[in-house]
This record gives sequence, C-alpha cells and structure tokens, in this order.
Amino acid sequence: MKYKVKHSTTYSYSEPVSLCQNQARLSPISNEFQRCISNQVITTPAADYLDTFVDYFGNKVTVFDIPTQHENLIVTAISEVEIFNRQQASLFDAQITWESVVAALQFPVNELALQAAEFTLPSVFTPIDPQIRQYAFESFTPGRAIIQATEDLMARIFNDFQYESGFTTISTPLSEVFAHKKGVCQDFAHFALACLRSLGLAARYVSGYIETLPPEGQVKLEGADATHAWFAIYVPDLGWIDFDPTNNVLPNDQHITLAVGRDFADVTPLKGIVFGGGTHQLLVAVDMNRQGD
Amino acid sequence: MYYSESHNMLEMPNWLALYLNGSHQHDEVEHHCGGDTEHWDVLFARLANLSEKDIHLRTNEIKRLLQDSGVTQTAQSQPNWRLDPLPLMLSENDWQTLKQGIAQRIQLLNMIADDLYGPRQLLLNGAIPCQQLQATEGFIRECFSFEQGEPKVVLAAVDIFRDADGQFKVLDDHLQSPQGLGLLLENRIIARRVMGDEFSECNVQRIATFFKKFQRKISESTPSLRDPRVVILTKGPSDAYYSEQAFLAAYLGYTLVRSADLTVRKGKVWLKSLKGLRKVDVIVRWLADPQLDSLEQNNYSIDGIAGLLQAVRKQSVRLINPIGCGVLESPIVKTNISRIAQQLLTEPLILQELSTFAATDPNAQALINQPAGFTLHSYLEPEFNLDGDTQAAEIAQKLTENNHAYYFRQKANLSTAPFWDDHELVAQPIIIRCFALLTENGVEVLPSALCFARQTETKTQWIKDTWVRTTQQQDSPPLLPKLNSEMLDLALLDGVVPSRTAENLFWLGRYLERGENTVRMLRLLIDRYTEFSIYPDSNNKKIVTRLVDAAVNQAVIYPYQPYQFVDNETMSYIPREIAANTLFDKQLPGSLLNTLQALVNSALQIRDLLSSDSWRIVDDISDEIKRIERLPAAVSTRVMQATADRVIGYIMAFNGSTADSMANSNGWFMLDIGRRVERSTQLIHVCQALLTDEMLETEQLNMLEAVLTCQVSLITHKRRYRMYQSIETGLELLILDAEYPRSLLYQIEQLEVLCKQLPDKVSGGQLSTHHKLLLKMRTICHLAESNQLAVAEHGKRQELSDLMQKIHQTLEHFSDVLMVQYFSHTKAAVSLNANLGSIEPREV
Repeated sequence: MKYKVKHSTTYSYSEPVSLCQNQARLSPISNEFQRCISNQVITTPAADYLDTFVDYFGNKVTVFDIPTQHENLIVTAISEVEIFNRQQASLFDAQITWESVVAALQFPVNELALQAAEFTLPSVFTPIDPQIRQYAFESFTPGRAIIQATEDLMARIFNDFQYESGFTTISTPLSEVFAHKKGVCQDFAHFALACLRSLGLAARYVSGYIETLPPEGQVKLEGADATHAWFAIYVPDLGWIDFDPTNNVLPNDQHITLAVGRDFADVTPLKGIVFGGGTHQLLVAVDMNRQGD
Repeated sequence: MYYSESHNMLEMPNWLALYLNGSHQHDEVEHHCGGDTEHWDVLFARLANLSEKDIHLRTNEIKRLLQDSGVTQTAQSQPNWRLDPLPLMLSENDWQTLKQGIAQRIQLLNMIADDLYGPRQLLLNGAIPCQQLQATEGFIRECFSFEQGEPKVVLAAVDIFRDADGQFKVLDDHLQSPQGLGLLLENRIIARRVMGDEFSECNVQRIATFFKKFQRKISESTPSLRDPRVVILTKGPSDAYYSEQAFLAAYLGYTLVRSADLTVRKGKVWLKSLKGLRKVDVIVRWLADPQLDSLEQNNYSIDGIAGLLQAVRKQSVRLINPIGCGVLESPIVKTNISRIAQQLLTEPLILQELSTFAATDPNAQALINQPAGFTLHSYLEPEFNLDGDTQAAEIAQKLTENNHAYYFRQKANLSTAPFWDDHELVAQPIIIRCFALLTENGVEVLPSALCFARQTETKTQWIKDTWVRTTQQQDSPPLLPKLNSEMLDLALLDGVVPSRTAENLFWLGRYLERGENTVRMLRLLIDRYTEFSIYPDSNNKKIVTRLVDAAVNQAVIYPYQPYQFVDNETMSYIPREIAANTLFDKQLPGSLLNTLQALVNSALQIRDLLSSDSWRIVDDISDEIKRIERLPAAVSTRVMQATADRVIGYIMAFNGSTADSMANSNGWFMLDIGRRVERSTQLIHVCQALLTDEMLETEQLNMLEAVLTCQVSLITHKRRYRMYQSIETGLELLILDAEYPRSLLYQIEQLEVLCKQLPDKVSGGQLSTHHKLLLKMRTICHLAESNQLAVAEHGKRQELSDLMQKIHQTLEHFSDVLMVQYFSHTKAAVSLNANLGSIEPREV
C-alpha cells in the first residue's frame, strides 16, 4: 500500500516574529514495516538554512532558521510512504511470558536489547504510579504470554477510556487521565506506556498518521486526517510490535509511523524558538491519501 | 613518626609549637610526612621569625587583596572565601602519586566516555548496570547524532582527600564546569605577593605554564584557524563562581559571554557585538550538559543557546569540555569505577574511591540496619544524602521504598591542616581540588591545588594555596601572572564589544549620572530646609516649598514626571521626610537607594571589564547600600548629609578610575553616552520644573541659585556674570553655552562626537537616524535666543518650556533609536514549547 501524506502546521502570531529557529520531526522513518519513498519539508516564509540529521532514536530531524520577519509561519511536509503487510497472526504463536522479557531487559546481551532496555524507564509523561501499575497487573497475570497480555491491556484501555477531545491538554498529568478515564490518543499511548514500564517492560511511543475513510457515499474532506499516536512493545527475537489503544487494533496498512521515542517530548513534530511573536495560534491539517500503484 | 617528635619544638614560634603539640587525629603536618618532612621544614624555618602579630597582619593583607580582586562579592549563593596565610605543603613524593593518579583517572574517564557514547561494551558486559545509566540525566542522547572521537574530558577538576592510612582518594570529578581554576590563580597571585620570600625559599612549582598550555590547547583545537575566537560562557552574576570566571576570562584574554550574547545562524555560533555578528570558534563553557541548547534539548533552559548543538554537529564550533562529559560525574559510573578500571586499564587504579555498596548488594544488607560510618546516596538525585551515624531510621525507611535507587558510601575521614583563626592555628579537615588538562602529549596536571576546609555556618569558606615543593631547578623564569588591577578597564583584547556589554555600559553611565544628580538634589533640599529653619523668611519658604513639591512629584528626580506647580500657600510636607524618602524609599523609583542598586547590578554584568581599582569602588557602593538600608525611618539630617558626601565620593572616584582607561580601550564611549543622555534629561526637567514659572526678582534669583547649585554651576555663573546675574544669564549658561561643560548644548555636541564611534548602519554618506536626531537638537539650541527664553508672559516662560519639551522628545527618540539599532538583539527568545501546554500541536 502506498500513501501520500500532506501535513501542514500554521502558526499565526499576534506580533511580528523577527527570527525563528526550529526542529521538525516530520519525515516518516523507514523500517521493516514501511519505506519512506520521498519527503519534503517546505516553509513559508522560506528558510535561509535547512539541514537534517538522524537523532538517537533513528528519527530524521529537519533543522531550519527563518530570519525573515513574519506573522504567519506555515510548515508543510509532503511524504510518500509504502507500507508493507505485517504477519500479525503468527505473533500470537510465540508464548513468551512477560516475566521472562522483564528479566532479559535487566541484562541486555545485544545492541537491540540494550536499546530496548531504556524504554523500561519512566519518563516525564509516563511517571511511575502504583495505581497504574495495579491496572496493568490485571492484564499481566503471572506466566501470561506477553503478546496476549498486551492485547488485553490495549482492549481494556479502549473499553474503559472514553475518547474526548478537549478534555485534556499536553500538560494534564497521567493520574488525572486515569482518574477520569478520558482523553485523546496521546493520553492513551502515554497511559499504556506507563502501565508497561511500571512492570519493567520496554515500550515506546509512536507518532504517525492514520487513514480515515469518509462515511459511505461522501467525499473525503481536505485536511480531515489527523496526526495519531500509539505504542509499541519490545519482545526479544520479535522486535517492536505496535498496538493502537485508541482503535483497539494492531496497526497494519493504515498506520504510518512518523517517529518513535520515549514519549511525546522525544517526537514533538515541530518545535521552535521565536524572537518576538506575542501570543500565537496553531492550526494543523493532515491529508493522507492512497496512491495507485 | 610524628612531626612534633622529630623536631625541636623549642625552636618553633609559640603559635606553631602550640599547634604541633596539639592532639590531632590525622593531620597533614603531624602524621602525613612519612619521615620526609623537608617540605614543611623549609616553610616553618622561614615562618619561625614571625610573631603572632605578623601572621595576623598577613591575614588582613590577604583579606584586603582578595576583596580587591572581587572574588569576595556578588551572588548570594557564593560563599565568602577566606584565604589562609599558611599554604598547604605537598612533598615531591606525594605530588608524584597525585600527578600520576590524576593523569590515569583522566585517561580512564575518557575511555569510559568513548565506550558509553560508542560501542557501549561496558553496558553489555554488565560493568555498568545499563538501566541505571540510561536513567541518569547526564547521559546525553544528543551526542549520538554527532561524529564521535573527540575526548570528552579536556579540562578537569578532581576533588581528593587523604585517608587515615595516608593514601589519597578521589571524592568527586568536576567536568561540566571545572570550577575553582580562577580562584586558584587569584590565590596564587595573592600568596606570592604576601609570602614572596617563603615562596622562593620553598622552591615551589610554578603554575603559569599550565595556563599557557591551556591557551595553546584551545588554539590548537581548531586546526583550520590560526586565531580562533574564544569565549567563556557563564551563567552570569547568579553563578557562585561568576567572579572567578570573569577573572579567568580577563587573564586568558577571552571574551566573557552569557547565552544571550550568542546566537546560532546557519549552523554557526555568532557573538552579537556592536559591530554586528562575529563568528565564535571555541566556547569554554561553565554550563551543564542538559542546559546547553534551549531548542534541541528537552528540558528548556533559559541559559541555553538555541541551535548550539546543530553548530556542534556541523563542527563549526568546539565546546570545552565537549557535551556529554557529565555522565562521567554520575554516581552509577563512580560507584563502578574500580570494576571498569579492571576492564579498561592494564594497571590498578592509583587513586581509589571510597567504598560503595548498592543498597541491593547482598554485602550491604547489614548496613541497612547498622549504617554507622556510611552515608546513603541516590543514583539520580545528586543532592540527596543521609548520614548513617545520625539518620539510621530515615535510611531504613528510605530503603523499604525503593532500594534500587540508593547506594551506601563510606564516610571520608579527611585529614586536617592548620588554619589561622583569629589568634591561633586550628586544625580543619581539608579537601584538595586538582586541575588537569588533556594535551597532545598526555595529561598535564596543574602543580598546585585549591585546598578547601569545611564551610562555616556563616558561609565562610576557608581556602589555602597549595605549594608543591620541588628539588629540581626550575629553569623557566618565574612567570608571575598579572594582578587584575594592573590591567586596564575594558581591555577587550579582540576589540569586540558584545551588544549586551554595550547596553550595560550605557545603563551604568546613566545610573552613575542619575546617582550623582539625586545626591545633588538631596543635598540642595537639605541645605535649603536647614537654612529655612534658621531664616524662616517668605523668600526662603517659597524656594523650599517649590523644591519639596517638585521632589514629591518626582519632577526633579527620576522618572522626571511632567509637573505643574500650584501655589497653595501651605506646606503640607515635612521637608526632612521628603529628603529621607529621596534617599532610601524603595517604593520611589528614583530614590538614591534604588539607583545605587541598579548601578551595582549593571557593574556586575560587566564584571570582567572592570579593573580591581574600579571594582573596589563598586564594592564600597554595595556596602553603602547595606548601610542605607539599615537607616532608621527618622534619620537625622546629619546622617543624610554624611551619606550623600560618601556616595558623591564613590561616584567621583569611579569616574576618575575609569577615565584613565577610556582612551585606551573600546566600548567606554557607551558609558559616556549613557552619562550624557542622563545628564541632559535631568537638566531639561530641572529647568522645566523650577525655572519656567515667573517669580519675583529676589525669589527668582534665589531659585536660579538653587538650580545652579545642584548643577554645580553656581561659581562659574557668579564669576562670569558678576553683577549682571539674572535668569537670562543663568539660562544662557545652563542651556546654550556650547563651551561650558555642564550646559545642555555641550552634552548634545559631546553625544555627536561619541556617536561617531558607533558602527554606522547606513551606507553612502547619509546620516543615520541617531545622527539626525542629535543634529536636530543641536540646531534647536543654536537657534534659540537666551533673551527670548527668559521672557515670561502670564507668569510663564513659554519659549523656554517649548524648547525643553522639544529637546526632551528628541532625546527620548534618540535613546530609543540606540536601543533598537544597537541593543535590540539582546532581547530574549521565547520557546514555542517552553510551557508544554495550551497550543502545542497534539496528536489525537
């Protein structure tokens, strides 16, 4: 499956900005499940400096400066991505207990396990919380296979939590999300991470896009798609396996991975420092469309 | 053998014999000479001639010198350094051990860093528990996006103590900001001055070579550039070590900057200077790893420089030490260092660490209930510690929560050394901080150390210079570093004035002038109301009423409010109270207290540019501020007069001290611009408030005399106009006389001269905006007629008032233009993700 994604971010400032310096994580990564065929980051006003590098987690970062005075900044990323089919049914054949994964992560023996080990640690958005750990234990019963337990956790989050846009902000603490059982995909991903890490498992945050289909008989609206977030869990020999608690599915050919990290702070799509600007407003629009072969 | 047993105490002066006969547990002089006492013998032989009184005098001399060099002042957090008159002596043998041990340690630390930011074998083979390392803040993931290979530790400070068995052991490494190097240098300069004879007699190893090598190392670190621009990056006056950083910058000849002075454009670092952006090649940073880049790093840091890491990634700038070295300071590395050393080195560690046990270690289980002799520390919170001797219950409690986070460390049994306290020597436990530099030829260890005693309750930190004795002939001539006072104010070596420095100089100039004006106004008030109490006639009363009224309405002191005098025949204020408020009311923006505080703050910002003579005066002003703050509400006139006299004295002295250096350095013209802008502003407002209303002739002359007095122009006026003195002559002198140094026109013409030194921002023979504005003011003054200014209609000198109004507006505009054109890029940046909140792009 091939997709073309257009992701536009518009900042509107109340006062002119004389200079802004930015870092964008708007280039889909290439891995065993997808290939980024092309990617372009375009800004208005134009950047006088643009460079890219690959960060610690393997994400491609675009660095740019805009020294032209402006009141609006538009950053558009256009990408073509090919998604490969995943053999997910066979995942459930592996009867690896979650406790054995916890033990293996304590003493990593290879590079991959070493990289995974740090995803067991709490982070700013996924602090240790005994109540959250208790919630996790209900899925992670002794001796249970890790894939089944994680799928169960995902399903419980999907059923127990209500999707409600606007109830939380990025600074809402996880304990509050848990108390009210409401939030958006970002909250659900962070919550799942906190659950898994509290057990000593390695789990990472995944940011990306999900394809939405219009109701039957209607035309898809421009900008109707959205940025999305889910999580992945590390299983020795199998690698990273994605789970989407917002939709209760194992991502397959409708999810595009943009970036991975410990939590949202590592994968912020666009961050910047501005000189001037006053207050600002933000508008994000995503279009994700299938491409013919 | 003890020192006191092997030596004849009768030959010692009493003060020394008393110490040596005292019962010390574990003392540098008494117990740690290992039979080799020569290094102390030489020192004591020299000191034997000194009486208690001599030592006391030396202590005072040192105190004065240290104060002059400025290290005793600034931030609240800064301890009060107290340099001891006796150095710590180290024998050649001891020094060899230390030197080799430190060199070995620096090499080991660099090997560890290479591995942790490279193949990470130490994590895979379990030498360092991987999750605990990954959890430390000092593990800088951004490093993985740079080309590796450059050693992480270039300049290092290592804290060492001597254990009871005589072995030196390591306490801490300081790599992100190896503080104390400037302080050590200042100590040495002072110690050599006060103890010059002893110094040469003891054949002490010199340290200047180390600093030379440091400079060489820095210029070699950028092979493609012959003369790299080097800056020292500091957090500024809030840092406890700010003054030593300023000292070091001045000594090494590097520009001292704060993050706001630097900007990253197109992957390069630039210094924002008056003349525009100048590329920076090397940053010696006194800032921690996680705070370096406010854009790229997750914890937004106000001290960071947005985009710095991109410049590092592009190798357009070098950091010393490179980012990432902080991980080597983390407890998880330190507590495992002997195990790591076994793997990475072919030889045993020369300098051991104190024993540590992870709280989860089976060997540590006994300690949980019996932690005496140990302290409990946290792997992740460096500040956390519990004392096993006094806090056993808290330790047991902590360890039931999460024992993975903690470890035990054996308590250090520090050796003592003699310190002079008032009238006798007392034994104080000591730590020595050694400094090392990685060069092409291996590790260079500075042959001295900063010797610390425990901090007292009054935040006094006792320190010593450390003398390493050598029996070898030192063939290089003694390179005595220069004292700060011998250097000129603002001697910027590479001729670049950072914009922020320029702005601070401008404000310093304004505050100096404002302070002077306020004092003169205060004196005038006091003089006049005292005179009135002796001669309470109506003429005097009118003058006092007007002066007090103008002062209350802040028309003749900052912020110079617009004001119209309304005569209501009654005086509703007590003049002495108004004078007192002008002196110390914190609510009054233009009070002398507030102005002096602002003055000291501006001076602090350019600490590195002031000579010690100038700095001493700032120090005096700080003391004066404290004195003013303590004044009672009902302060007497006499005390106010005395305060005013002192402040004027300081300001005059400061002006005199800086005037000498002006011709020889760049940047001072900014101070003079500030001064002249402030003087003009004040003059305009005083004329507006006190001279535009028509008065009866005798009163008018009396008022003119008052104004001339506070403008320090009374005598000139009298001499020049003798029997023809009138308001007209007064205005002529104060406003229009281009030859008279205190006139308004003179200030404007001076500003024109000074502004020629500002880099021009327009091309091809055109006048820049600020020049146009100055020209306008000058023309207005030149075209004015003094006899017209004096003319009053309906009781008001409209012409004078209009003139003042016009000049005032133009002057304000001029001041704004300076701000925008030359200082505007000093304004702060805003992070779009500083408060991760509200309108951050969110994933839904």
